[in-house]
Amino acid sequence: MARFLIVRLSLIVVTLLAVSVAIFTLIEAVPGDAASVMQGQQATPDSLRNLRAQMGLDRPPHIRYLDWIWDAVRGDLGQSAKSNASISEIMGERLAHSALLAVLAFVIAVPLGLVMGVWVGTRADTKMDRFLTMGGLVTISLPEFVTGVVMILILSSTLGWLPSSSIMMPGESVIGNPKVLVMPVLTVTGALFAYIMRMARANVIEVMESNYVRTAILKGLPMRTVVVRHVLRNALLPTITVIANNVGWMFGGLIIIENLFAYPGMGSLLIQAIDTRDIRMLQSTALIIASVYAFSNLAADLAYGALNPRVRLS
Amino acid sequence: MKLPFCTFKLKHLAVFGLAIALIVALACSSDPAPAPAPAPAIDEQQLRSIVADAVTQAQPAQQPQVSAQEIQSMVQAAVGSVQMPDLPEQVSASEIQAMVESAVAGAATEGASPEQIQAMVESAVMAATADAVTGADVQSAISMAVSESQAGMMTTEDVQSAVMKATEGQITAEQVQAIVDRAVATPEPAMGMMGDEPTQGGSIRFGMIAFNSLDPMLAGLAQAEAPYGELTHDSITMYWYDGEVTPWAVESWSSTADLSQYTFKVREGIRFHSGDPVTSADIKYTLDRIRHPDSPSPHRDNINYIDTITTPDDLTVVLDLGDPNAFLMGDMTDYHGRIVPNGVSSEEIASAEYGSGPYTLGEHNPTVRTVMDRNPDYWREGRPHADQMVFFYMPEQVTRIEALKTGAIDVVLSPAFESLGALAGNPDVRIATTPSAGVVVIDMHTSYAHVQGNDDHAAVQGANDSIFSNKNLRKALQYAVDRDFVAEAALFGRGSPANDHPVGINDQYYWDEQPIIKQDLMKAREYLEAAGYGDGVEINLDTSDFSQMLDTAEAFKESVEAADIGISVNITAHDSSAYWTAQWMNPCCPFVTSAWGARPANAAISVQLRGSGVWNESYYNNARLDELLDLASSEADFQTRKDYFQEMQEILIEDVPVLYLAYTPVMYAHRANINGVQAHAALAHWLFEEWWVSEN
Repeated sequence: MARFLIVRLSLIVVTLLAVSVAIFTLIEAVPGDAASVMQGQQATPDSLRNLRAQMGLDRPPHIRYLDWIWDAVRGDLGQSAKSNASISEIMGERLAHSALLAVLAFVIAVPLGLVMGVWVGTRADTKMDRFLTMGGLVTISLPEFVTGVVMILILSSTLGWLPSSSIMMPGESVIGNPKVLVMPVLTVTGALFAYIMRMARANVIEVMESNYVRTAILKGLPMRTVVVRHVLRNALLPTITVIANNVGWMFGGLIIIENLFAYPGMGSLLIQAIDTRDIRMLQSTALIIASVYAFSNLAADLAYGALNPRVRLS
Repeated sequence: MKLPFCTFKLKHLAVFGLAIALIVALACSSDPAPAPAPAPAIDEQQLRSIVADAVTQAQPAQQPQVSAQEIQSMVQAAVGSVQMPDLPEQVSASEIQAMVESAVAGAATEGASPEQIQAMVESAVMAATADAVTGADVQSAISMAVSESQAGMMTTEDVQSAVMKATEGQITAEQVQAIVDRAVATPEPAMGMMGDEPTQGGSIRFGMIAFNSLDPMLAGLAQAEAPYGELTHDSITMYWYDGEVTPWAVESWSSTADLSQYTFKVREGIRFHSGDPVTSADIKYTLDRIRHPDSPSPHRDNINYIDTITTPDDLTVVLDLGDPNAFLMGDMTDYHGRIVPNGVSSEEIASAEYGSGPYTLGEHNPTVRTVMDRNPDYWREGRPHADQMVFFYMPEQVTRIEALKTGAIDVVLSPAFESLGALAGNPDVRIATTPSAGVVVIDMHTSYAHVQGNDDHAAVQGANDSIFSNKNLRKALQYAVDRDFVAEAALFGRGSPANDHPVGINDQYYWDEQPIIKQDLMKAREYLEAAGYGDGVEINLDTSDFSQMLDTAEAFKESVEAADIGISVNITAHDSSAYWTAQWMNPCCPFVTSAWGARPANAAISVQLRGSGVWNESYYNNARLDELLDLASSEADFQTRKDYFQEMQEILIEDVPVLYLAYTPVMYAHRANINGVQAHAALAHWLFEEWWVSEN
């Protein structure tokens, strides 16, 4: 077990390094840098050259990358290229905001998705099953920026129940204004819930058709016992992997949702960093997101091992 | 009994309410006027065309300014000539009233063009028959979101058509009836806001895209830094609303007869927020920072004609220009030149606020919000009014507009034109607008020869000239495009056609008798023939979704292709963050859109069209034009200068290096309780210190 953990952790380190190189290379390949984006149409060759020198962008790319990684390893994420603000300061609060959003969505979507999935899975091809399956498909198919905008128009513009964006006056916090969380959480939850439900349903149906379940039913076990003891355990295994993989996918959704609702989290920060070619900010933000993804996959593998002794690694 | 006539009645109700509202609003915006006469009911179309005719007839095409009194008498005349309504006492549609009030109040104070007034009245009439959320609202919101997020899972058309289907017939007859009933039950709102005295207090919240640097000399226009600069700093001079250069931190100035040396008198009693007085040394330092060879400021090339700056005493600045220049004081209004204290380093200025302006920087989190507090010691008596200004960073257009509609924020500067339809129907939102010399254009790279060996134009070294070096092709395009259509379609009825030069129609150097270019397919065909494209030509147009450029490109394509003279246009839309680096002024893309904020004639022509200019985006090279620019800047006599500018406009209309297609108005969308808001036509001028907050 210890060896397994060590191997996995060092793999994560390698992954993160690869991610940082990939991001750096990609953003270098995209036209425009922080200086040219900052000056836009008003840039002159002189002003650009001088601004690049002032921002340190005139140094060769590999020097800038090594510079960044050397600082990052020592725990110094540096300053935003455009505003001179400390990146770790900016990120601290935002990380908490995104985590809150993600955890809330998870806490709502996972149990609900599993329960509904098992419930309709054992009632396959009933009207309720078809209704929920179709509904889920629609929710998954609509991108977040569409469901988000529709929600704003209904819940905010028309009914006036909720604020259309997450902006807060100084001194206010997300915790103190739970209303700002409702629409972002609902938007994330919607797709996630539908996805988990469909996954759980499919797995339950598959297990329900297996020989051992048929045997269990035929030998006269009560349906509840069959489901809880035989179906659930086997059906949940693949579902858990799906949930873990969804953490990364959910972060993708979070980026769009946070941007749409002006929610002060990591996702909207990432978009800002890309838009302004703020490489240090982007690297730091992306690395945090990649770490969350890597560690949630690890957690999924561990949970999988706990549920299924056959795949337990040594 | 009621229902079958419902829609019929409603039209009358709307027109009736509109008529009352117009009269009441006008009565309140100007001085005492008779109580509203018994209101008439006429066909909606009829009223619209009467108002439109009256407004256009009263105005020659060249002068789109209409006074409140003129509108009032026109509308009264129109309204007085129709018969009494079938449906009398029922109506006091306060929603309609408020909308029209805002439209007319805006028009009266801002001097809107007849087209604008007409559009406003029309949108008010449209909005009167619908509730808050219409199909169009949803459509525009979603199309915005779709185009802004670049995830291409569905096409814009897919989403739009789906939503249109879903929302069609959403508003039933019952709902409309309910709206009217509610309006009737609601007492008329208290009016007379125009005459109220400004009060101090309150906070004004802005929805902004993002914030870059705190250093004013690095300020960008698309982001929040330019407004931040005006709020927290003083300028040397400012343009007033009427376009006149107004003394600001410099209270007076004089120049030698040959315009080669200027002397500024600094206003006494201005203090930085640190308490130190603003002196001549600070002004010298501010300008020297920008002029320095290592300066990263984009403003540097605009004022590099200044030779030396000296400060004989604390309140006197002497600028030696070397060559004469008549336009120095206008250049001193530039938003990069906000005054900073002598000796403060660039690092310090980039990390804290060092200004002397009406507000001081409070909490500043450049990815979330910026708070600015009223400076009680500001030198302008009784200014500023609001206690606090807050910028919220909301990168998505749809988020800003929705937050404005629900009152979460108070102001959106430069709302996208496509969002105006949704805003017009909201009784709590006003649009302040004024025509400006801002302009959307299509550049045509005319020649790369004259910039070979010039380091400032690295991108085009060794490039072969584009097909647009052929003047006949440029002339063909000049006559092939229908500018009225482009102004209407790309700027949602808010623009006005431009005439292939960047001088605004309210500019003092505008050539009054110039021939207005109209679509002329005969000429276009002839020029196309002469250019050697008698069999047709296919051209690529590169653009980006920024400042209505994409809409302009699409309107251009539609207009030119509909003319059916053998020109076909392929549009490529590029990512806006890289557009100015990768496509604009690059030989890859000799036919590109661009957009310019309003600049005075000399600045506009010299930055955009001078042969050696760094923003000469069409690589135009005309020795006579350059000479005229030099002559004009060294000429003391106004009329002679004006003649020079006339010749420049003649040259540009004849040579057409750039298709200047449509002037874009300046617009701010704001909540109704923000007062004193007047759209300012000059680039990056707002005069926020005149704005104040009233209750409700």
